[in-house]
Amino acid sequence: MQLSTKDVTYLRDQMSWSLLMAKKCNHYAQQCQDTQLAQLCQQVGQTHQAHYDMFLNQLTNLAGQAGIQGGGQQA
Amino acid sequence: MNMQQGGASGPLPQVKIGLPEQKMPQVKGPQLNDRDILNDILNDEKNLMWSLGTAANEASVDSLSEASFRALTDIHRLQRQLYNTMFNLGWYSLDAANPAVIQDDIKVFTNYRGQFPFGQGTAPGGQTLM
Repeated sequence: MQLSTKDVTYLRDQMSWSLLMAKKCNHYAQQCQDTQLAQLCQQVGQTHQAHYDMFLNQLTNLAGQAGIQGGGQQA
Repeated sequence: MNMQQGGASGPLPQVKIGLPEQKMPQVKGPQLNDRDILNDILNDEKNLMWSLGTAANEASVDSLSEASFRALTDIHRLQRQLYNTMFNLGWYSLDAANPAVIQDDIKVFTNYRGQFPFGQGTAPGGQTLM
């Protein structure tokens, strides 16, 4: 499967947003006074971190199908 | 929830849907408090939702749009969870719709069913044909 330049741009953006949200939510979890709200922040952050891996796997798998070798992570 | 009967002309501004504020944000100053934090995250999720929607639509490969759909579903759920949390803490207050206006809408849109181009297949409130 041939990836378009747009696909790659979106994946790059999506991974950047996911990482930023994961970091931000982790930071907020530490700032929150209420433990329940801190847990919610943590949960939101973990979801975004999982999205990061999902998008990275997409990039790795699609590159693999196109025969592009890379230092990708295992699924 | 208290509903007052009123004319069909407009909303009843005095009728609120909401809970009393459970926890006042502890820090009232220039620093971010818990309420600011949740609002900021909810706002980020909203923006991400639009960006991911565009990415899902413009993907050239099915598996890519499917990945965006999955992330979108998560993000929709997170937004609900954030909203419900804030609502339960009394940080959200809404104006209740006028019941007479709702009744009018039901009447008007039930009548519009007469314009259906595909027959009267489903009753209002009935099962869908999917």
